[in-house]
Amino acid sequence: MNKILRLGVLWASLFVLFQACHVQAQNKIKVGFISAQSGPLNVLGLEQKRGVEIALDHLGGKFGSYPFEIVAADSKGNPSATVQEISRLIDKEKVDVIVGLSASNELVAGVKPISDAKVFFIGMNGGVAVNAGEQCSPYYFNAAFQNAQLTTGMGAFMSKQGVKKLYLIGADFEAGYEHTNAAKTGFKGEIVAQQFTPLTQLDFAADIAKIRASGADGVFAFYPGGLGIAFMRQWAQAGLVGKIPVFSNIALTEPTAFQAQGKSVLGTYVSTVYFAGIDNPTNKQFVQDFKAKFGRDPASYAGLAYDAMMLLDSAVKEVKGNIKDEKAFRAALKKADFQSVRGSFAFSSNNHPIINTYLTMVDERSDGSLYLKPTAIIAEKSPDDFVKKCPMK
Amino acid sequence: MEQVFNGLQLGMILFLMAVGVTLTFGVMNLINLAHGAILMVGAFFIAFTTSTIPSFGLAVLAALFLVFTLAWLVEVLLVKHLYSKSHLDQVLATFGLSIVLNDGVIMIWGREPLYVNLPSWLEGAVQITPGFSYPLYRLAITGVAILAGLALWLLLTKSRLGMQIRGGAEKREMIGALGVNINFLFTSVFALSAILAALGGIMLGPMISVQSGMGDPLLILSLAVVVIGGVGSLKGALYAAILVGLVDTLGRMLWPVMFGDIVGNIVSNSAIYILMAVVIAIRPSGLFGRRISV
Repeated sequence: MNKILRLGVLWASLFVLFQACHVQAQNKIKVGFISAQSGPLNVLGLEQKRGVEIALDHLGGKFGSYPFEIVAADSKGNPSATVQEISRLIDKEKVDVIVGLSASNELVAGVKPISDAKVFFIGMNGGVAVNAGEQCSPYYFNAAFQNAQLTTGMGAFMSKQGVKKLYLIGADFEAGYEHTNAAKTGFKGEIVAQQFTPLTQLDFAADIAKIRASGADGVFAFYPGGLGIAFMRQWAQAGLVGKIPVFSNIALTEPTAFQAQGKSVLGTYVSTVYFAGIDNPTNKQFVQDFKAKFGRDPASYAGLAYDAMMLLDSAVKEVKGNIKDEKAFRAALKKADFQSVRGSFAFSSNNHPIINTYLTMVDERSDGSLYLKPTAIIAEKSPDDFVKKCPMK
Repeated sequence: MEQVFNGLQLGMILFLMAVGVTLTFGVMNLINLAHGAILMVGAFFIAFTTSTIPSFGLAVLAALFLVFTLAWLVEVLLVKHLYSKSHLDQVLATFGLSIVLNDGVIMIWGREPLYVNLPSWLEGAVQITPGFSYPLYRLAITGVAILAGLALWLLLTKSRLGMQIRGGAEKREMIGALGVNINFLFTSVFALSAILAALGGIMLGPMISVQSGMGDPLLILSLAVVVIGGVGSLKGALYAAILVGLVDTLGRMLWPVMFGDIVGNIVSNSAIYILMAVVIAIRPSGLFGRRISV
């Protein structure tokens, strides 16, 4: 009897405890953060996570006075894992809003199921063309950039640098196609080849030999994360540094890669929408805190992830925590009333940003560490190329 | 010309992998899907030893010793119990082992890729003919792989252990009946194949980034090599590895010229598997395989 009584009390108290937890959990806003923590592009996701961490430090677990929690998911750089994890976040975890995604192939697969479930999604890295154009969605905001925005102007710049025969090479996925295509725009010489290698391929000996044999006098290479490190190291081992110039956007050579790439990237020109040296108070604070925590400059993935979190913060505050009010929440996101690490920030009608694109060069500090030195502004407060194809107004 | 070098080099690394796969299958009748993970472990060990031991040569030896110890332990604790099990059980267990190893290195070294810095005497490129220079390190890799191949050939043809291994690969039951210490033989073969795979990983380390799962694509390629060459055949592994290496690298050059950029890209990424399908269709037991009676 005594035993039964005790058991009963135990169950009752557990039940109460469970209820209490449940109520508390319901008060918190649940933010799903999905990024590639493993797989060939995990350098991107790991850096995004660091950016989110700094944002969490700054926000202190609350959007204004509204507490939130992060539910993390690993998209693995592959579309099927992305879709699977998204349905877990939505159906099982019942998150209120999703942020993140690292690679363009994840976006191609992921944006639609999120939008179909009428969950808001804020992209933290380059958006793909269809999602900015024909298939734009009222539930999808990209706080980072549209892929072509990152590479815009590189074609014209390579011509200006005297490149006559250009070899385009990139990883075989959506971003590879979009960036190499964007690099063709404005280029006046001959395109020798446009080649793609599998995302899992890390040995580029055959491809580098092919570039050398092609007689190209300039290369545009799109290899993000670990791929870029492997490519540039092998490029240097082949003795081609200083012989054939390599151009790219920031994906090829970021602060995440500097130490491993070393001198092989010194003097390389890359275009970007974010670099640690952008001069405004928000970015100064962000870079300072990032450096204190991780010991180096933040890469673009971190800066853009930070922006996405701050955008979400501004919108939740604007609707006073009531993010179930779709119309108001959408309007609040669209307003983009937050201090971006990029300075000015606004959304076009397709929910993709109007931003600057910079030309930067990898340079050396007096202590031997590398950094991105801005040399020009390629595009100023410019929308993406696909905004006209988007039916949203 | 440069592509032939690249093809040979890829072929030799695949050979080091494939020999292990084909030996363990031939001698112990074991399908080892953890072989790619062992290559990765080798690469992690070299990243670890080069960061603590200043001499590159010593670091390589230390890494090989670590792999040897690990393989010995794995054989005695786990793999030993699989020899009598069905192939499906072996696939499940060794696949599980590869997951354990892949996640184990994440727990120890984290998810960030590691990089192995080359000693200065291996950096740079060598001028072979005017206008054609080739990375010194890649030459060294090919050299080491050929040496390893030669050493293996000597071991297999000239030594007592080698004779037993070859005997085991031909007729397992006979070797047991002759009173050879099967347990010791099997452990040695497993450790030997692990060392060869790890050697591949050690040589790849400075070229590509060292990260969890890096060996798995190579395992798939080396399985293709083993199937093309004939399961259990050492000669087959050598020829097929070089064939696959050359088809892959030269194909990358030729297909786009023949079929245009888009189709060429697709063909060059799948050429090896097309080759494998053709070989299986014509000779189901591989180029040098024994006829398999079903």
